[in-house]
Amino acid sequence: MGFFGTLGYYVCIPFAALLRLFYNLTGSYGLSLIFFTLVIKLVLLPFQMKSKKSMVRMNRMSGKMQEIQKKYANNPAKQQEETQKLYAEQGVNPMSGCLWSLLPMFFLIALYAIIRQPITHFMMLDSSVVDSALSALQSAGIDISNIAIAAKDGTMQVTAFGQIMMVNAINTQLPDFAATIPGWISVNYSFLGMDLSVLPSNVIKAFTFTWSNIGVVLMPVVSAALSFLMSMASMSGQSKQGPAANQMKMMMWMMPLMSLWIGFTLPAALCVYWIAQSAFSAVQEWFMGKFYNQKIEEEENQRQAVIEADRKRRQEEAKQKQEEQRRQSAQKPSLKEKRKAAQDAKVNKPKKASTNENGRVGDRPYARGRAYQENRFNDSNEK
Amino acid sequence: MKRVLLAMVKFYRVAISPYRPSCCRFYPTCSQYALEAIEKYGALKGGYLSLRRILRCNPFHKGGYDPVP
Repeated sequence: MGFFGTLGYYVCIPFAALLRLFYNLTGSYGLSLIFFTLVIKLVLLPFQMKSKKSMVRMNRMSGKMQEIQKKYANNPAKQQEETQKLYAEQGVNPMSGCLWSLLPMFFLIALYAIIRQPITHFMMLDSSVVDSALSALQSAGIDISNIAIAAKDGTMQVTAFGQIMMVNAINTQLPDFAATIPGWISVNYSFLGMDLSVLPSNVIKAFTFTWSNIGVVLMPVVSAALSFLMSMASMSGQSKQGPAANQMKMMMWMMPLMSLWIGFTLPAALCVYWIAQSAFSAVQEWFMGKFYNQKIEEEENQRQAVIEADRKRRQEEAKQKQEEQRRQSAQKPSLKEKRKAAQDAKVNKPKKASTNENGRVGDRPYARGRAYQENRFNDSNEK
Repeated sequence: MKRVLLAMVKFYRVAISPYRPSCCRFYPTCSQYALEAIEKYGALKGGYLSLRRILRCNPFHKGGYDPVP
């Protein structure tokens, strides 16, 4: 094993332990795969809930989005940037993130390793067990041409899906050998009458009409159809014009076709995971969509109610203020009254005498002016 | 090493990314970020930065505008 092989081995350990636990509980490989999927889905549920929530909220602010799209129609980079800013402002982000989109792929690869190499990655036995199993099969005179091929140096190299076939061959033809290995699990690959260990592509090559064969061939078709439906569902909310939509259409076809092809070239067991995964996702999506639409509606109503209450309160306050002003203005004299009062005051003001007795000289009352003081040159400074 | 990583990211951008719905919470996107980071800081530190960015790119992070430092 190279670096990635070793890394992959350690990554597989917890998943294999989980799968083994379910296998020991149910005794069926197919069922344990379904439970395994369920557990992974449950673990990832908080992530999905979070992204679904902001997705639903995001649908409610598409108006602003369109504004941005119109404003920066000829500058996609700026448009993207502004969009991100808007998301940050609103505290939402419709994207679930790169990590999230890589995770299912990651699980798929780990599970693929576990399914493909049941002896080393599912039972977690040493690779020497593979060799001893191979030689046991060889010495029992069982045909191992599918399981291993001779390399140039004469050693036998186990083929890509050799370990699965080896497990099957030992379970059916050499149960005594299985008993001698501690930790050996006689994996029961049959599920709903199908053999999960075979590759659908091999089944097609030698097709006979038995339920097992039909079922195995149908599995990748079902999984591709499910993934097609899923992408249809996720498309339904988006625009259906422009180059982006064309790309989306292409993607909508490409992904299921790819999963169809992958499903045919890998053991049918992987398809069980795939189908279970899509089915659980669909159910989860449906429930979460309902739940969050309702919840956000409630939230929005609440917010609306708060805004409404605030408006009412302010209206009330404004009314009171107005009332107060009116009362005050009623008490205050109006401009007209003020003017009249001023006029009256002017008229009624007692007239100041233009002179006084100081100015009188004889019979001329104005002779000396008002300010005349008789004794103004007095040394005593008396007035 | 640097060139290998860059080629891998470019392959992802050309061959894989177009067939999946756009998913990144950030601007620039994770792959664009990786390209810039590896170009600027080399395979080791750039790769480390990109990895951190991809790990940040999950629903529990706010996302938004986050250029290469």
